[in-house]
Amino acid sequence: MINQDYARRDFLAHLGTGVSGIALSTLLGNRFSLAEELDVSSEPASSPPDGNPHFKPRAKSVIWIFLVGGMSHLESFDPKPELNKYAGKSISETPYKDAANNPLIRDNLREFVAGLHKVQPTIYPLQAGYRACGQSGLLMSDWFQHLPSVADELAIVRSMWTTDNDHGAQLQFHTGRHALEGQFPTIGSWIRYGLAGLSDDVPQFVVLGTPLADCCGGTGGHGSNYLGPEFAGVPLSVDRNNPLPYASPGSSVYREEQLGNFDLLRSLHRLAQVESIDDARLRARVASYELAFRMQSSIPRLVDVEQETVDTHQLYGVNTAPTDTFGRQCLVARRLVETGTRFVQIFHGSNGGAGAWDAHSNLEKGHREQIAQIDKPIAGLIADLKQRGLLDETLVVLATEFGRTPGAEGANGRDHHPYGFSIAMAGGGVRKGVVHGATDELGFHAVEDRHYVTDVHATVMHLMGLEGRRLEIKGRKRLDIDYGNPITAIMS
Amino acid sequence: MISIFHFQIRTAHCRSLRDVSRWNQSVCTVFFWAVLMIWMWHGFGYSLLAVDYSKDVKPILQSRCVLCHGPLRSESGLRLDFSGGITKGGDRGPSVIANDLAGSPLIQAIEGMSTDIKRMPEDGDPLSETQIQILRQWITDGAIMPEEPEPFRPADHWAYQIPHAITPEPTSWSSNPIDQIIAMHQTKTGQHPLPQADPATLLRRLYLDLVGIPPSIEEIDQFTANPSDEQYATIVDRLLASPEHAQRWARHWMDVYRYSDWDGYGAEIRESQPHMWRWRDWIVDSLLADKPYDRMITEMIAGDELAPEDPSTIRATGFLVRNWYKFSRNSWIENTIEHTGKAFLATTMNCARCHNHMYDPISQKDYYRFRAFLEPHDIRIDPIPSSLLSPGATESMARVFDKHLTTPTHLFVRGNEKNPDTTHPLEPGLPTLLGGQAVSSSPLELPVAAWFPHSQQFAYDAKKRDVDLAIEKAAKAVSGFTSETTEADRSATIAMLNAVLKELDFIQSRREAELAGIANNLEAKELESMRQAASLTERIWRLAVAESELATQTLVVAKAKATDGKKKGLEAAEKVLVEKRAAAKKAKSAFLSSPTAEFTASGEQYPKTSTGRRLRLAKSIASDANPLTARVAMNHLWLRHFGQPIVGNMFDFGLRSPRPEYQDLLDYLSVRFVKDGWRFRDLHRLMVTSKTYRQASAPYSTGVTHFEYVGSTIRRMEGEVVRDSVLSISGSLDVALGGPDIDPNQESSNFRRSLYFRTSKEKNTVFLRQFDLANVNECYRRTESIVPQQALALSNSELLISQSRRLANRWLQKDTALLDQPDHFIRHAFRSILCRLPSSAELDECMGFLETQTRLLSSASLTAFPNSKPFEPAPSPDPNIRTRENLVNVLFNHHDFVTIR
Repeated sequence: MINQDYARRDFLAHLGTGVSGIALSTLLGNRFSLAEELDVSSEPASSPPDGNPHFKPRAKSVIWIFLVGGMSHLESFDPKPELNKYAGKSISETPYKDAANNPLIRDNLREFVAGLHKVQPTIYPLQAGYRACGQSGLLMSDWFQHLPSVADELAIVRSMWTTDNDHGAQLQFHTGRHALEGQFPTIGSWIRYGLAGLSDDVPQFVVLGTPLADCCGGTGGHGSNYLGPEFAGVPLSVDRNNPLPYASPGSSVYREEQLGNFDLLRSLHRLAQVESIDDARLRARVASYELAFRMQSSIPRLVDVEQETVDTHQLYGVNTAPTDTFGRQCLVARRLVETGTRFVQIFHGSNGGAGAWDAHSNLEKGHREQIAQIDKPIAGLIADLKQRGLLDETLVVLATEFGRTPGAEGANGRDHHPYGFSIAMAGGGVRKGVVHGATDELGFHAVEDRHYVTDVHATVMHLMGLEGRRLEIKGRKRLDIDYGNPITAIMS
Repeated sequence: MISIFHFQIRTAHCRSLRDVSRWNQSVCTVFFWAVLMIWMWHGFGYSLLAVDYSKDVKPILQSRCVLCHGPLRSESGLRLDFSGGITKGGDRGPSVIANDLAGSPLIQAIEGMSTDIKRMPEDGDPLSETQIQILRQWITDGAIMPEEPEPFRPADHWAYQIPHAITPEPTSWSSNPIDQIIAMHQTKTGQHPLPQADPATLLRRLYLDLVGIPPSIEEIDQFTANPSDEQYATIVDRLLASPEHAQRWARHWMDVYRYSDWDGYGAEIRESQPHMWRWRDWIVDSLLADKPYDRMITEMIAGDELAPEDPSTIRATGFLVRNWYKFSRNSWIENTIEHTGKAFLATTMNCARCHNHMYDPISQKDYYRFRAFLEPHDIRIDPIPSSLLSPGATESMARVFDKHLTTPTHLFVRGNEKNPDTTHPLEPGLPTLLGGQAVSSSPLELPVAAWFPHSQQFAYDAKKRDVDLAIEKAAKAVSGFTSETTEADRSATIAMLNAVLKELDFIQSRREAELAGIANNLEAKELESMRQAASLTERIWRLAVAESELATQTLVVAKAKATDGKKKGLEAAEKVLVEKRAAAKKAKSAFLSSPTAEFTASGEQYPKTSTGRRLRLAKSIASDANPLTARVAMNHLWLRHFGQPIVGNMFDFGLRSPRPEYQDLLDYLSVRFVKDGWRFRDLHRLMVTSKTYRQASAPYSTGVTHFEYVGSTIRRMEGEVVRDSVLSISGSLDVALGGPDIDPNQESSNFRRSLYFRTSKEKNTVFLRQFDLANVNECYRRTESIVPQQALALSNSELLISQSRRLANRWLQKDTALLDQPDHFIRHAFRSILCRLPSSAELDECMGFLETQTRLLSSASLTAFPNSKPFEPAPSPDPNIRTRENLVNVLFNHHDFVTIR
């Protein structure tokens, strides 16, 4: 069951990097996954990946930040002065009355529960002011205090759309499929599947922050589904005492004792290897213990940001409320990427339900609180990556499941809005200080250069040097919409 | 445009060849353009000068026409996938007539200009102008094509033929027919069987395979002392008859049937149902009873129609209930269609939801006809008799029944539920190639217990028991009055007793009315008066309840007044009191209102008939004449005994599944399985007693459908086997049968077998998750990853740490020699955990370890793992013993432990 390419890589690893090199390549070589079992058709094309990019990549790693609950595009990156002009009026009383009857509403929408979220008719004015930031003059809500300092690194896409007007859109943003269709591999798992690791000490697909709640995708939000469990995201906690399941044997075990146990196991496995020299599974098992043992010490070390300087702490807002938690996650993300993790997925705003960004009421208060948690850490992350020369090879994505309605919900909220919203990107291969795409005058529909969520996937894949169609697994037909198209306008 | 250019090209070309001397200026011009155009056409990949059937015509037909006019479906009797079919044509006669564009139906169809032939293809865009031009040109040129053999017909596909068994040739090697068939193959290929496995390895393999836990040292000793065929057969029979075998194999079938406990958001149930474990227990019970598989299938798909009064049969319909999905009836039904097809028929029905199947002879209409079997069904929760209760269980069961008796089934155009084709309601049916039979389903009259489950005596008894208990409790409170008891307290207690007494009146009176209604042998007037009596007792009871609540609230207020300083509490209590007073008033006026015959029924009543559709589907699937069902089951059996399947794709035996090299073996097993009454136990026995099974295991081979070695391959234990084996070796395993799903957080504190832990999309056991837990959405075959998380789980989890400590101490308490003689301990540990003795090198390593680790643990400067909680029991204070605890833990981490050889 060992693929020729893997065998070759394994061999090269032996030659090139000695024992530590064996670890990952043997692990990769031993994916006894359904993917290959299904190889019974005569269809052409796809083959299991060899771990190398398909073409020259622009980035080596991805830090994917996801704001759970739906950040308002109207109070972040997509200013709409017309909302102030027609505040309090019904959409039908404005020159843009067609927005509410646009066929895009029917075509766009697949409701999870029919009729639960309707178009909100009464225009709610912008709650935030806007200002031009950086040399690029990128417009950004004045609720952001720190993000403007890296405006010239950002590319903002204002013309995103999705099809679910409920929080299943969280799952959808990661798999590209509506929640009613079930779970599929996520973008992180495709990267993990397609590319060999950069380090033997860390998992290649890491999840930070509280993953999605059961309502809205659950573990499916960082899952690998049919690719097999080894390609799923590994959730790490930034708690250095308990960063991952079974990281510690409990306080009644001594470190030296565990080391002794591990040395014995290594010796016994070595004896077993003498007996069966080319047992690929035994080799993979040995490698998995080496990696586990290294992870056991490397992961607590990696999540222990106390080792960083005070300046760095300040840059990310570590040790200061309200940025401490998210700041630590961003800092750990940088440390992971620096060490060699391919894909770090940070969830912000998970609250066991729809998410903290879900501003049905008290939008200003809620969003200001959430922004206060992420503003400095994200700006700090981008600045830090840049000063370390990592930004060129790291792709930073800032995304959310949908925007919020131009109409008011209740007195001071906005409802879910899948028809037009914004995301931002920065780093490897991304144009700096640009805005791409547009919504209509009300910020209702994405009208210019519309992008479904998989266009973001395609962009990430492309910048990482992967061609999604070459990864397709036989018997798992994917549609054009699952692949999406790279957003070339924001690529440098 | 295209045709004009084309004309010019041809003209110029002909003239240039015919008569060079007659060239004139204009022809030269034309020729110049023609050359340019030829170059351009070539540039676009088309050659219009000579249209070639194979190169130009066939690809167009293949890509746009053959799906409907090919081997899968010859619509209008027409096949365009080979020359003979094109010439013969369909209902309209030959599809092409050489040199006659207007008379060729093919051209009329693709151009869409004819009034009586629909534009083809019906689906998707029309053919491009270039494609049309190529076909026109080809016909104009004489429609020249070579003779082609008729391509493969799907009806001839191996999996659609009824299997028949060959007669295995006797061989001196073995009398087992499996071995004889393998020997026939090996004679041809020149292969030889591997030597038989050594007895201890074989016994461990057999135990892990049949019961999912390893043999004890004593069991190994007994067998190795006498590893005869008879002894082996005796062990096989004992294991096959054991409940542990049913538990082990139930988990396999749970994978295939997509077993899932409920899933949801907080307490909200979104998928499957809370009582699903009853279906899990049914699977275990069925295997334990060696219930025929055709019966099992029928019970799972139509248990409610098969035995409408028997809850222990109906619980099998958990197979269907499991697909329940709160947010989409269509997703629910679609999942049921897809996985009923895959689990029993290894057929990808789901590929025909939006369009005709691309590979298999299943039309989109077939998909929706399959759906029609399931259209009427829905789920409900029934009461069940206490005799079927497990400790801690609620007295209910999730089950299916036919609710939507007249809902028509429509084909969804392009699979879009918003676009049903309501002009053609579809009748249920299964394609004949998949074993469909031409019988119609007739509706079944249901017994009372099925349409009015709460009318059953046990349901009434349970209700009465509850009321009696409440009366007893209230009466006790009344008899407990003392001189201290306040008036308010007395009133409240007496009112409570009154309320439950009135409830007893009501349920008795209701019972009489309901039974009379069911019996239907009274005069209408008589029945009416019984119903009125029930109605009256209900109103009396409701009034008593309202008065009881009022009295209780009066007491609350009195108490609040008595305790000073709680003004807020008093206010709230008084507010509730006002509400209760109003409620009591309302109940009183209801009581005084004019008599009616309406009362609250003891439970819901459902349709009195079932459509019988699912029973018909089940009988087609579970039929001796179905070509797929038995083969699919045997393939699952073989995979799990041998580590590799006979047919590579577990859930698709369709046209993309090539004829397996060992089809004769599969067919022999399938025929025998059916002939002997669909009983698994015989087939398990046949497989594991074969010499093929008992061979030394071969390394994992590279083939999927061709196995280089036919025999057991090396595998990794599933997570359940890892956990159960650890607990079994440590002596902690609780092999009790059945019961509600266990909270996954108890993975290390509850020692029941792993299959009893809750498992659903989100709710499952962290430990099992590390070892490729079955994906509840689809798992026809487990994956076997090797990842560092498994290493952490085996070395650091509370389960492993605790059990290692317990185990080492248990041994040492039993036999003190194990402490004094380290080599004894090491041998004992190897034999218990790995079922083998250590090599001398291994023994040396371990001896060295015991010595150095003991020394290490005796030293003063040691660092404990920081900031984590200790696992119980604590390590031994004696370094000698603690070192042995460590050794046990290390052996559980040995590759040989999780590996089945």
